[in-house]
Amino acid sequence: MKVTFLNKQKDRKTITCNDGEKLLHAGLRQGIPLPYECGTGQCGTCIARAKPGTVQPNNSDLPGSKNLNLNKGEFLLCQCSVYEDCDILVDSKKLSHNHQYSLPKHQDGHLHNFNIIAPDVYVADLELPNLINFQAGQFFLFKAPGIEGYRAYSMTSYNQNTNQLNFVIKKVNQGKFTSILFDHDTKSLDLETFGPLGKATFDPEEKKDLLFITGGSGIAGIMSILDHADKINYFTSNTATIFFGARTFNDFFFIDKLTDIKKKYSNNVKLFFATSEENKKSLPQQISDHEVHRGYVHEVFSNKIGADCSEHIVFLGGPSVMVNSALPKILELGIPAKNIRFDRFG
Amino acid sequence: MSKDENSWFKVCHQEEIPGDKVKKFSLDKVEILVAKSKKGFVAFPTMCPHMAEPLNESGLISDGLLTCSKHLWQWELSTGESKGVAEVDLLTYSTKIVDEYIWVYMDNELKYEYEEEEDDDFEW
Repeated sequence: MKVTFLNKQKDRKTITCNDGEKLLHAGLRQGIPLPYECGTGQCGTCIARAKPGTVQPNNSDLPGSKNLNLNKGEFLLCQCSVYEDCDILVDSKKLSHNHQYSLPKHQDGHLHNFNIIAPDVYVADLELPNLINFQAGQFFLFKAPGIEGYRAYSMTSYNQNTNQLNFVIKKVNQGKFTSILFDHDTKSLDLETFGPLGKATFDPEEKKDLLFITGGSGIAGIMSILDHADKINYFTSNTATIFFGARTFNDFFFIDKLTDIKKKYSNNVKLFFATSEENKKSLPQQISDHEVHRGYVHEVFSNKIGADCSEHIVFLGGPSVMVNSALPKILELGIPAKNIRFDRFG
Repeated sequence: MSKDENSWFKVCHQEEIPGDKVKKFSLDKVEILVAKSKKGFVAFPTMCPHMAEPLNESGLISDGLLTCSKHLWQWELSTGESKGVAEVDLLTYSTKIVDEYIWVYMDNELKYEYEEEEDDDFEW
C-alpha cells in the first residue's frame, strides 16, 4: 500500500506500507521522523489522524488510546496498519530523516540463553540475522508468535556492528509474552523484532556529567549507557551519579558490573542503592560496600543529590510513577528539559 | 477596549494557590487553571497545547517555570512564553487581585489550535 504522511506545514512524504505492517514501523524504517516514545500503545505519543475507514481500528484498551477522538479519525501509529492507500496527518514538523539515529528495521530474532538474575527477572540474548548499529539507551520491540502486539525491551550492553544483543526481561503479572518464558520453562524463542528505537540516548560528544535515576528492570538501558561510557573511559573526565532502587535487596541485579565501574572510576562515580521495603540490618555481602538507603529511589535521590547539577544530563529508567516522582526535584535543580531523557513505557 | 465587568470571576484567596502546583477552577462551566508566577498569578486553559494532557495533573512548577511532565514542554509562567522544546506559547486569561482575592477575566474560553480543528478543515 502507498501511504502519504502529511503535516500541518503541508509537507508530504509517500512510502510503502506492507500488508499488516504497523504504520509507525513503515514510516520509521523508511526515514520518516514520526513522533513516538514506547512503540507499544502505552504512551499515546504517536497519535495521528486519517480519513475514517482507511486505517484499521485501534485497540481501545491500551493506555495510550484513552485520549483518542475516534470521530476525528485519530489513532496510534504504533498500533494500526492500513486497509488501502491513504493519507495520514502526523504531528511532525519535518518529514525528512535527520540521520541522528540508524533506521530501525524488521528482523526475525532468536531469543535464547535465559538466566534468572533476580526473582521474576531474566537476562536473555537475542541473535539477529543481520548486523545492526544502535545508540546506548535504545530499545527493541519483540513480537512472539500467536501473541497480539509488541513488547519493548532495552539493550543492556553496547556494541556496534553486532547481531548479538542482551536484554532484561521482567515477568509481568498475567503477561502473555513473559508467561511463555517464565511459566513454560522455555529454552529459546523465535520472534519478530523491530528496532532499534528510542531517543533517550547517550552522546559522548556532549561531554557532560551524567545522573542516573532508575528502578528495577528500568536499569537495562542505563547499563547500556554505562557500558558505552566505560568502553571509551568517559568517566575519567566526567562524573556519573547513579541511584538504583528496588523493593528488596533480592531484587537488585547487575551489582557486580556497577561495582566494577565504581571501582574503576572511584573518584568520578557515585553509586547509591535504595530499597523501599528493607533496612540495612539484612544487607547482603554483595552490596555491603556501597551506600544503601531505605526509601523510594526518588526520595533517596532528592535527599542525597548535591545542588550543583544544573549542567548534568539526567537519564531516567523505570516506571512512569518513578519518573513523575523524580521530575520535580530534577527541575528544582535547574536541569533544562533538553538534558532530561527518558522513554515512557507506561 | 474596556473589559466587561460581568466577565470578571472571583476565583479564590491568593493564599490558596501554592507556589509549586497548579489548581483547577470552573468559571461558568469553563475549566481553567491558576498558578503562581514570579510576578503574580496567572490563569490558563487546562490542557497542554502539545498533546492535550491535563496540566492540573501533569504540570510541575519550579522557579517560575511550568513544565508538562509528559513530554517536558515548558513555559515561563509570568509571560506564558514557551521555553526549551515547547513550540506553542501558553494562552493566558487576565487576572487581578482585589482585597487578596484572585479574579480572572473570562469572556470566551481560550482554545489551542488543535481544539478548533474539525474534520472538514483538512482536505484528505
